[in-house]
Amino acid sequence: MNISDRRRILGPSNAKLLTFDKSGPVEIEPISSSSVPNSTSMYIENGLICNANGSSYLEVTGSTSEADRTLMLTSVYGPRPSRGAFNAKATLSVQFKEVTLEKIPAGELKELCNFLSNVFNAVINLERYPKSGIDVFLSLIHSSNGSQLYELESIISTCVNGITLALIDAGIEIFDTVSAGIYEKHIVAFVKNGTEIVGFWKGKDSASESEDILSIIEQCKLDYLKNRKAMVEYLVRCNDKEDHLQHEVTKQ
Amino acid sequence: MVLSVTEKLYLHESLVSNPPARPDGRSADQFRPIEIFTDFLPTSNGSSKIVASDGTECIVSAKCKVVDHTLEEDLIEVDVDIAGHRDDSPLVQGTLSVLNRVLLSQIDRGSLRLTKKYSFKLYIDVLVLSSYSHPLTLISFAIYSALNSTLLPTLISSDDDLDVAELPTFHDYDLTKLTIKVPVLFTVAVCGKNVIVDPASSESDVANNGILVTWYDGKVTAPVRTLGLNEDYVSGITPQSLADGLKLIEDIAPKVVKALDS
Amino acid sequence: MSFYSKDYPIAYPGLLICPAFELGEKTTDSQEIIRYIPGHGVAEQNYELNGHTMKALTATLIGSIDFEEDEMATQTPIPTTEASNDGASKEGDGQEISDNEAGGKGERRYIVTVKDQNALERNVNEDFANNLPREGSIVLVRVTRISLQRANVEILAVENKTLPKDSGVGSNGTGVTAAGGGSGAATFSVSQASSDLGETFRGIISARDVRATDRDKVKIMESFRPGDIVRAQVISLGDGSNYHLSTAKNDLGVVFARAFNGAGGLMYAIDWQTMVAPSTGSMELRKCAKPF
Repeated sequence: MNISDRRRILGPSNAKLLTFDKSGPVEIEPISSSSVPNSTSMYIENGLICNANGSSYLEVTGSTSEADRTLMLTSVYGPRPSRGAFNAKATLSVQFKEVTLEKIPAGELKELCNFLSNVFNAVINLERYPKSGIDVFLSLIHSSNGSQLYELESIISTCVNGITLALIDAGIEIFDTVSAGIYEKHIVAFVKNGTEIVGFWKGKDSASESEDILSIIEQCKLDYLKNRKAMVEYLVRCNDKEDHLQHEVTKQ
Repeated sequence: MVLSVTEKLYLHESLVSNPPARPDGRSADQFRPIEIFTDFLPTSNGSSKIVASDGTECIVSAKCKVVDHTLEEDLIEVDVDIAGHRDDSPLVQGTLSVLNRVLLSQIDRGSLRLTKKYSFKLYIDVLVLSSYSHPLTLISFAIYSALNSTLLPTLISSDDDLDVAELPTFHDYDLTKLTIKVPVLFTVAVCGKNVIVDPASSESDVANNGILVTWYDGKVTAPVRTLGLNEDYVSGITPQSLADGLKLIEDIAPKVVKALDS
Repeated sequence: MSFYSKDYPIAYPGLLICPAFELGEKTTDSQEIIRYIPGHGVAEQNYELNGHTMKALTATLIGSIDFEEDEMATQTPIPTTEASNDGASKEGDGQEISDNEAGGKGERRYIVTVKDQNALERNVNEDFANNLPREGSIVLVRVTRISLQRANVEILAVENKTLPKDSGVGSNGTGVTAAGGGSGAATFSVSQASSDLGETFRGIISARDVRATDRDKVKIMESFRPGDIVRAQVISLGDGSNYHLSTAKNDLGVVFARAFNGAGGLMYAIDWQTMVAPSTGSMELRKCAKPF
């Protein structure tokens, strides 16, 4: 017995060393971007989190370069009983968290959460869930945008789309498949096939300052329609097959 | 004031009608009367107090500090305290974040520059004594008038201190007026197809959505966004309403700024 | 062709299903009106069409659309004003319902629901996640506490409805506990108020709601014991924390109970108010649900 090993760092003499499987870094296969310029692609998978009532995983590859990616995991808990005063409607809360690097200032996140809960207050059929609370948790797994530390615009639109998918997965009644469209730093969340706006966000000044607001909205609407089409297609296909097959939609 | 379901419904109906019938008889583009007092806090460089007709009251004080701007990124820091709301409540945090971002991104750093090395850093403290409606517009009016009445110490040492290491020295009692352009934030409520400016609390309670518009240097700038004013009546708005809201601000903002300046 | 007999694709939230009402068969002296009532998974919304608003039914869930004729409510004459106010025009032919057409004529009602396809196989009506207890629904509850005036219960499930995955994890004893519970560190959220994992909705059965007869002679002790599984009906949403429940019907009451306050074996009801443990033969008093 080794006398010097008082702290038992080496362990008993008959100990077996722990060996790990040889596993290199997983090669991520590039999503079939088909190198169409100015096309964003979206990868959707619902129901990954088993203990949440509903969840969605969204991977959005940006329009400008392959490196722009936003990975977002959304989970919906509830409706769960709320305590305290009587509420004829459900109360919605949205929490946002960066799982890996925390790059976004806390105040901005609060604003984002306020904005998102306002959007979904208008969309969820809250009357159906009295005396309860619905909690939405957003986990930003990864977001990169070349020069910038983070791109809030693409994060916001991913949030909107992710929450919608997670709510649908949870079977919570929503009035419409709400989705967001981006154009030049403007994000617009639409409902009713683009005739109504539930959320508008312009965080930074853009180059297209002179452009009319209505034409900006029109541009966002095009993006919205693409996103929504991809989401609905995924949902319908999933519902058809029942087994949640992986599904990839490349927007043209 | 908490309204019953029926009262709210009645109010909503009257605001949706054309033209909107507002409970206090204002027209859609009319503000409530406000009173502003400036420069009344002896220990701060600039101060203002704003009182709205519904009793909302807000005090803003601006203090300055000399900092090395090569080390200090942000030359403005805002702190917000709203009576009756916790510091980590969404309202306070949201307001704080918006104000910080707007002021930092829009205000020209050069106007706070003292020497090649040093700048003034402004600390703006906002205290909302009582708030009955969404306080953002009033706060921004108060900040606007506080910063426009801010007097900073006059520099008497040389403004080129890159070669000679020298701390800036100031005149004993002479003060210089701070001249900067300050952004103003407006909240607009959308009820049906109508857009109304400066919603009172009862109007906020039944509005379909709110829009936050920033006005700076004669034009609408970022951030512009929808803002939840309540949880019961919130719904989608048409793109036209959003455009109407921006148009409304473009029409009235110059007048408001003119009134604040006078 | 009427909307109720059409074939629909799989519904997703926001899918327009049909207008709130349409005109059916027209004979010389009467005009049939078909009214569509939003049921589960369907909501009525206002849509703008050619300048005027009309009410239409949209899906709010994923699933297949189902029309069910409401026999009970047929033939109720609709007030004429309502029909003219809505000014609903049919999508197809733009026909307006005018006062004289709608006046006192026959009406058919259809309840429109969106159903999960899996649920159909499970042979349970309207089976879907997220059914919260509401007035009139039958719930299964567990007695947690009794006093002279009332029994406190926790609601385990709404009868014939599935539970949300994360509902009452602790109480139901199924499901994986969420790490961080979906609440955790979150501040200022509903989750803060109900921070405990696996919490269920709670309810109260007051002594006067235990049975329909001899209400003032009810003794809670002789009706329920902690741990009993009781079938009850929601009579109101109650206050902030408790639903108000009733067992004042024949088919409501204790369905499962263990003898000796849970220490003994499972008991079986032998009449309306007695249960017996077959192994020991001991009898206990309960307000039993219809035992036959």
